[in-house]
Amino acid sequence: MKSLDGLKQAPRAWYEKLTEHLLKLNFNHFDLNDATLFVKKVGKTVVYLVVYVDDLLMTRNNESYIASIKKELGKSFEMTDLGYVHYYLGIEVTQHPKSIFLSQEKYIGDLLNRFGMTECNPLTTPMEQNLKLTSIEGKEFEDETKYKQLVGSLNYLTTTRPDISFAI
Amino acid sequence: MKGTQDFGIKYTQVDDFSLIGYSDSDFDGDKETGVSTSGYAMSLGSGAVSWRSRKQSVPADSTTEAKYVAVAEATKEIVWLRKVHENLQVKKVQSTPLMIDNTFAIKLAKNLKFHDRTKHINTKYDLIRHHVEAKTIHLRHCYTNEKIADIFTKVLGREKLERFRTMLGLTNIPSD
Repeated sequence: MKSLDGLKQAPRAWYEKLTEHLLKLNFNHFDLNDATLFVKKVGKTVVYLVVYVDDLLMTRNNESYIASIKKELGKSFEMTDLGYVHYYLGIEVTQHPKSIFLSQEKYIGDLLNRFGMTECNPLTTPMEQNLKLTSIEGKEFEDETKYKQLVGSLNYLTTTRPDISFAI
Repeated sequence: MKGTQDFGIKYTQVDDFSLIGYSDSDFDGDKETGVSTSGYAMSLGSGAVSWRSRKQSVPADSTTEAKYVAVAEATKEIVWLRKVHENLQVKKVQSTPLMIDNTFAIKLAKNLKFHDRTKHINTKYDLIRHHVEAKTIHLRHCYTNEKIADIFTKVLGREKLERFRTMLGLTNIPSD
């Protein structure tokens, strides 16, 4: 099957090609309902691989194996090996020998900028206590689209910030 | 978000790498629709790996029912997480504790007692009972000061917010 960049079936063709190669390398879908997570088991070694379009992320419970998988994939695809992950889908990853830290500091900065809140005063809790919200009182939003964009953006922020889930 | 921009979740290497679930719900939280909100948090080792805050699809008519709906949602998530966990460990993992604060809901999961008040939640009841019997989960009572799932079902004051936030693994100190 051949496909051209920019055609509507191109992403699917790419995904099928990639999946075909991963299956050849003995990866399996972790769950049939999940298109993005693959797993490969060799003895006691387990390798997890996450696919986001053409960004691949791998992890394992054992040092070996990753290099040979990268080599195999490199034979079929033009690849850049970025080494240990520092940034993936807007999430900053800080790795230390005994810990991993996930944050979205840059993403929050971009949001504050975009919604003109860089100069606002910090608060100690994400939502006012005993706040009563109703759908019949108060005035309507001046810019409904902007509000929806903000809620969507904040929703993505809950990836590393469970503390704001309820408020959103 | 300003003021806590540098906060993130830290996962530290720990000896006891086990899964613990926390589940809770409010009751009748949305005064306009009578709908309750469920919340759960799953922690693995030192940090939260999965959480959710979501309005229930139908209004519950008792606190126990609302809590039960929340437990069923949490149970489904635990089943999935255990699959990932068992794959990583390449072995069966022990039954996962799910902490809730409603003793009646715990009793209900253990006994086959149907009464009028709970008849309509039978499917959820069956799902939970199945996983309790299969030793996938066991429900355990938790005290107010460790009810982490509170953060997903109600507005908290500063002190509780900061305590639960820390318990979820949230910090602004990335290093060891």
